[in-house]
Amino acid sequence: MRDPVRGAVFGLLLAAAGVPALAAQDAGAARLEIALTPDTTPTGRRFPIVRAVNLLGDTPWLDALRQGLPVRLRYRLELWRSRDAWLDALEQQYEWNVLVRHEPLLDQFTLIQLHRRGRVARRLGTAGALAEALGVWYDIRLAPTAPGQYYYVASLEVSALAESDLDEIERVFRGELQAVGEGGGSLSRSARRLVLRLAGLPTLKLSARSEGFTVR
Amino acid sequence: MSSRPAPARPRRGWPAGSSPGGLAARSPGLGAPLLLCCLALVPAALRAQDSVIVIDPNAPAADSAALGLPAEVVAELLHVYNDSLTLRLPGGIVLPRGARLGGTVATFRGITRVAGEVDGRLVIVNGDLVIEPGGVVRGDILVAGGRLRVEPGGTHDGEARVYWDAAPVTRQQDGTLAIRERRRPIGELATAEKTFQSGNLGATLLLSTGQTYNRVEGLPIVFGAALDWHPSGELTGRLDARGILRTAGDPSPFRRDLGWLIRTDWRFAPPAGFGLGVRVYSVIAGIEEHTLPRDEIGWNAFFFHRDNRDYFSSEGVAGTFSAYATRRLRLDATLRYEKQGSVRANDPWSLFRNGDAWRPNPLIDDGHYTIAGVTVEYDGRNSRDEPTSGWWARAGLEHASSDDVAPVALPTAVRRPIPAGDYGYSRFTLDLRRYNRLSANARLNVRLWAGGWLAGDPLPVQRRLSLGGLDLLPGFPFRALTCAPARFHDPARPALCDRALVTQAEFRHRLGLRLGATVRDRDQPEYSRFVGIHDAELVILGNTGAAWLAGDGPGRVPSDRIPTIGEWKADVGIGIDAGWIAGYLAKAVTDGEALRFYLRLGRRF
Repeated sequence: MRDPVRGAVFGLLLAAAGVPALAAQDAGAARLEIALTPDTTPTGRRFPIVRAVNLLGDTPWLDALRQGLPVRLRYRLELWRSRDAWLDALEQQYEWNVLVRHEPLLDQFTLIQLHRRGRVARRLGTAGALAEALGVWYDIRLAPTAPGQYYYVASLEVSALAESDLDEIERVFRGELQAVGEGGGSLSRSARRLVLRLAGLPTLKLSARSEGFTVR
Repeated sequence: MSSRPAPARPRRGWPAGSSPGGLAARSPGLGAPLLLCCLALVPAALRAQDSVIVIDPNAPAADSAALGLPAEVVAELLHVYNDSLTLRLPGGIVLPRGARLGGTVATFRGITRVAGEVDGRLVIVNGDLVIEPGGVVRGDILVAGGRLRVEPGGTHDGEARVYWDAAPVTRQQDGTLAIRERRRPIGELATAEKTFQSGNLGATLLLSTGQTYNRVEGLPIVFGAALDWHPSGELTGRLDARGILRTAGDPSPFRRDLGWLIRTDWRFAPPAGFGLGVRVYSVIAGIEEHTLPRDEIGWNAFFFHRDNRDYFSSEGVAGTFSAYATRRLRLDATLRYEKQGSVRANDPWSLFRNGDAWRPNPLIDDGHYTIAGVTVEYDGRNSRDEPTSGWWARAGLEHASSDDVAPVALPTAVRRPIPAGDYGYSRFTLDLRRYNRLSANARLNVRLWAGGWLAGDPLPVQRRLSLGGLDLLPGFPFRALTCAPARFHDPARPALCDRALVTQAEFRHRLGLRLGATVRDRDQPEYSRFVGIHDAELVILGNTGAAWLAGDGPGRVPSDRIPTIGEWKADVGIGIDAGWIAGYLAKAVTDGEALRFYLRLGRRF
């Protein structure tokens, strides 16, 4: 895949130079919020609460849903321990998914919350209800046990899926076996990904970090 | 996971600007503290709402659940809506300023906007209700399958109940509502054209092009059926039978036009526990599969007429035992008996350079092999797709023997003659990766890959190694290091080294880059979309490695040693990775190679 180098150098330099100006765009768009439950326990343990804000405003996801593309929200929460003299250490993590699909005949939305220990499905009547449901707070019962300084990092990746990906995601979360041929990207899967991206459906990545807290 | 499908807590006299899911309507800076205050001070109030979902990762596994409107609410909707005294309006209606409605009013679907006055009960079915500035609703509100928004200047005096869950109702010809038979949610009802589910048994019919594109098979068409049996959380079984139709014509007798892969896998007591599997296969296997992923190999071949992998035919039977100590640690033991044979490159079509000849596919040491292998994998990463911290390691050991191997003639400088009757070798591989998060936006990832001959007779061609190319040493051309003697010329450029060792490091910094434009729809702002690259990472990379012939003799490295550091090859590079596509510039620093530009369709490692 070797191509003329000069153009590539120019492109990379242009991209790097354009970063500060472009990064400031759309600052008020979709975002992820994370907060801590009140410090009410003797040990100072605090749970994180996470929510996404404005996911359907000025984003292509509602359009993608109405065009028949399911949308996946992949949340990940990490508990980090602060260490002064060394890199911070990842203590615990948890991941859960939310899948959304439009039901065109009813103009309704199916929303499935998937995580390792359960699956909850619901049908939402309007895009407004979907927006509300996507903006709920998740109260994750994940907290440190040992004394120390901690903080949480939450991330959310939103991406449009091909229809066939839904089964695969549910299969993985059920702990089932991998399908034949899995383990490397398949041609068709990467092609789907490519088409979705070229169609103007980038993967949206949001992240947020909580304030630090001390466990005694 | 416990979710609270209860309606928004009934309130009287809502202030303008609030909503039943009021937390979602707060300003970002105040939302979290307000939530905390509410959680701490008025837990009863908040817990009646659907705005907080509690997930306990340590809770026992729960069965699947489908949330929906409570039955009594559905009954109430039907009763009110179908009441002959109810004023039924279509959805999407606007009650203009100055207009006034009295009594019970109900709408079905759409967004109902109230800028005038409603004196009485208001029921919205599968729609939204917006009380606009100046709008007044004096009476109870029930919204099912939608949301309620009271805009600044709007007033509601009464009780409000809001359910986001859709009402399972349909409108009949006479205008009344009736219960609609509930369709199964998507997780239970897989795609209609390929999967059928009945209880714990699922059947999948497959027709796919989902493998790769290469100069031996062209575009393989995969078809077949699979049965999944999931009787309990303790047992999962799968029977999968697939045919592989190879579209690249091959007049030679070395490759079948139709391959197959039939396998059954059983897993007990996941996520720990163990698994058993048996498979029968006739596939085209790759050589040096630790390099580029299959999809990138395929795209490179399809677009640019460059196939960076070699292949051989593999037909046989295999049994596998897998042990899962934890979710992170897995051991696989495999015993295979297979016939391995050379296949030739054919002439599949490519988009560019289609008139060029494909690189020949090298001959291998044909024969029937009995192969025993053990692989241990540890995955301590925080994510499979985009890890930012943790270890990932895979170590493999393989011992193979054959009593009918037909070796390829190689120069003695590469390999001494191998016995035709009692041949056996051992080989190892190690792939070790560490992902480090340095800050919220910076990562430092390192990788060590090592492999090659361990004991016994010399390796067969299909187990030999090389370096150079897009993946391991991108500053060098493809197969820059093959260990071929100076005067040995083979247009197939086979990998001939006994061992290889590569280390890779990359520093990644998130750019917050948003290169592109938002295409806006003037009439429907929600249809605006961003086209371009979003959230790319700057990548600075460096690689160094060596590939060599092991053993005693000139040009070889003793079996218990690795090459001196001065003999290693090294390169550096820089690139931008947008996740789905990445562009890199790489330059060899130990050799006078030209600066190279290349594209990748995923992370390097």
